[in-house]
Amino acid sequence: MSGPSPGRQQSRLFLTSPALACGAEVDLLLEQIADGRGADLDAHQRLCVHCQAAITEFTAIWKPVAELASMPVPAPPSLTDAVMSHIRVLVRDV
Amino acid sequence: MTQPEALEGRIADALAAGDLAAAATEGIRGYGRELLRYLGSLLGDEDAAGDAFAETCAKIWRGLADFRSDSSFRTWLYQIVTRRALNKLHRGRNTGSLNLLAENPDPGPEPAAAAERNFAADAVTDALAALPFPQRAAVVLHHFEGLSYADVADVTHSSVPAVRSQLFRARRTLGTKLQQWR
Repeated sequence: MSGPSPGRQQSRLFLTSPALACGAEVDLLLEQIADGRGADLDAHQRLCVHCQAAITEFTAIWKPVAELASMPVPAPPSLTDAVMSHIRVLVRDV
Repeated sequence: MTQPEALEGRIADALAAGDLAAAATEGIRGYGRELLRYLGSLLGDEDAAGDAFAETCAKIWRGLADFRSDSSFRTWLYQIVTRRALNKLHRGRNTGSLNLLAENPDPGPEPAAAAERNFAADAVTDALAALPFPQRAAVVLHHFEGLSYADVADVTHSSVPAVRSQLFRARRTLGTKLQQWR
């Protein structure tokens, strides 16, 4: 039988619920992971299977966002000319 | 002193000396790339981002004399850029996708891995483009450009709790979309 795996179904549930079964707030967990603090587990998270499963899943989901954010930004070659033409007009007007 | 602090220091020195050209040059050279990426993410179109960036540089030049150092120069630049992006969006909504990774000329030694990253980048940029403007701005400013919640609030003329709330909603939406992609 095809369909989402139990883990995937569970994480869909995480994302639509305000809190995990243990009471941990989903938004705070997402914030922790998105801010790169996914490995900084507090005392509860170190012992909680719900938190650990959610952190693992959210970390994987957020990974492409973090990768894109860390990529260098290419500048189109024509951009300098466009900027300079705007500046030249201004300098002429000064 | 960190690199951003050194840059802010050079800009402040140039402004204090009345050398507006040097201040503008430092600002555009130091922050140009991240501003361009921010515009691309907000506008979802490379050409529109380039146009907006060029117009913004002109606006920076014109507005330098009015700059007040109660915020960082970087925050001030983002305020100008955000207003410019909003104006452009109001003139004609653009929902296209800007794939920043696809512009990278060097895919590296592992083409399969690079292709996978490009698919992921497409998924992220499409998901970002679908977010409401305030959420998109907050995500890009905080998660891509590293601005603090307080600085994002400054740029968007908002409050820290409001920024946090926008980010909470944005992360859930992005998470749901990216989960479907996986």
